[in-house]
Amino acid sequence: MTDYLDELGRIYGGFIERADNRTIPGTVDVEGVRVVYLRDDKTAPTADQFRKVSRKVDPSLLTHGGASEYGCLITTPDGKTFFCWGYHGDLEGWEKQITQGAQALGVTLATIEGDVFKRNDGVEVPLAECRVEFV
Amino acid sequence: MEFVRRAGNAEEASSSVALKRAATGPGHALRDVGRYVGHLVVNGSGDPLVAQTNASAEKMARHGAAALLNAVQHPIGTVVVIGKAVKGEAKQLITEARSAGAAGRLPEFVGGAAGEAEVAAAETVLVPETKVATATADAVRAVEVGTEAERLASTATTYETTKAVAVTGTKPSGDMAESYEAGVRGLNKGAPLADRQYEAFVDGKWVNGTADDVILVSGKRTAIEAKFNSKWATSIRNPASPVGQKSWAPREEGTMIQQARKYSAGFEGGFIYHTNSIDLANHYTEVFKKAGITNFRFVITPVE
Repeated sequence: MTDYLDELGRIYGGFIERADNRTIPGTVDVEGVRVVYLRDDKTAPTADQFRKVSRKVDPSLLTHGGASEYGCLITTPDGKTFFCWGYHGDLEGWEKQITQGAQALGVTLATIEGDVFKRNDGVEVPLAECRVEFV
Repeated sequence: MEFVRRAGNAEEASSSVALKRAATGPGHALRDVGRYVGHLVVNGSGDPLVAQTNASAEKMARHGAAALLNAVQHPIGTVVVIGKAVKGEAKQLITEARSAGAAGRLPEFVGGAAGEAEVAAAETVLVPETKVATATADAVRAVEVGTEAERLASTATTYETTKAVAVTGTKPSGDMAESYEAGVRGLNKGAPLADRQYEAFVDGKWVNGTADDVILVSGKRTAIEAKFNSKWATSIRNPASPVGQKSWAPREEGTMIQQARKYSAGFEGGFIYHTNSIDLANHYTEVFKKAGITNFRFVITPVE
């Protein structure tokens, strides 16, 4: 059945990424999309944690757009786990919205630059030294 | 310019016998031509004509679905696509049609009135049936001619077709729909992201939800949904159906639009709806477009 994905990709008009061969979000640029990693405090489902951050600043700083989960967890050598969301639309607005929301809530954010996982608490770790899980 | 609608019979149209029958019938429409892809030229005087191309069947077939879309998007007054073709039989059908035309049995295909532009466009209209489900049932069953560009284009929309899925159960909106959804999920097996939550900021409000499935198409998250329809004529999602005209029925269309807006905003890759109903696909393609929703596509997934 999985082989049918090639045909489905033609039908859908693009290359379908397979669940067993995922690209780490943020390592490859996708036009119109940015990704952000948020520290997983394990107190609630990651979607709830994201919403808490994204809706913290009110009125909203973004005009339009959406975000969704990638199902990717990255754990740095110090044992801290980050989950990934991607957003599109008003990219600048989203960035401000998430950054300010996280700052207000004390949530650590991270991004990937090249082969490095960069946390905004100053910790930078080569991606190769992190544990990556797709859930 | 007049607006002509001629009803036909889709099932009958799917045989070459029907082609011959149509060839002997009256009128300018490609009624019942079925597997043959013709094109309709609306000339400057407003008279509908059907022109024949000299392009080889192979060349026409190669153009495929993308070319078909180009053809239907051609400025109106020029070309509209009708019908469908079966891969491998294209040449035979073309030959058959030419013979019919030469014998005067199919005047539509003699159409020498088409200019070069029309002929060039006509070269793009033969589409393998295995690759594309043509348009509306109406496009196969009938021919519509008119001045309304949007309407003409809409009746000739094409959809990609996946392999069929099995549906079990007895309740169309219950176990049958669930069974269909499972079948569609099976087609995408091995691709969906485990987590399917999303949120969006639409018209100044936060919305959120969970999609049936989310997959990455060329790196862009794309929502996948299944929309099973057992019978469009009586569907609650069909405003023209008896139940669709009940006072509460418009909510169904509203619900569809609302979901589409959320998916459209929530996923950069938009959304793909699998349905077994070309009528549903046609109707909601128009409804979504009118609502300003553009990043979607319908895919036909037939029922086994």
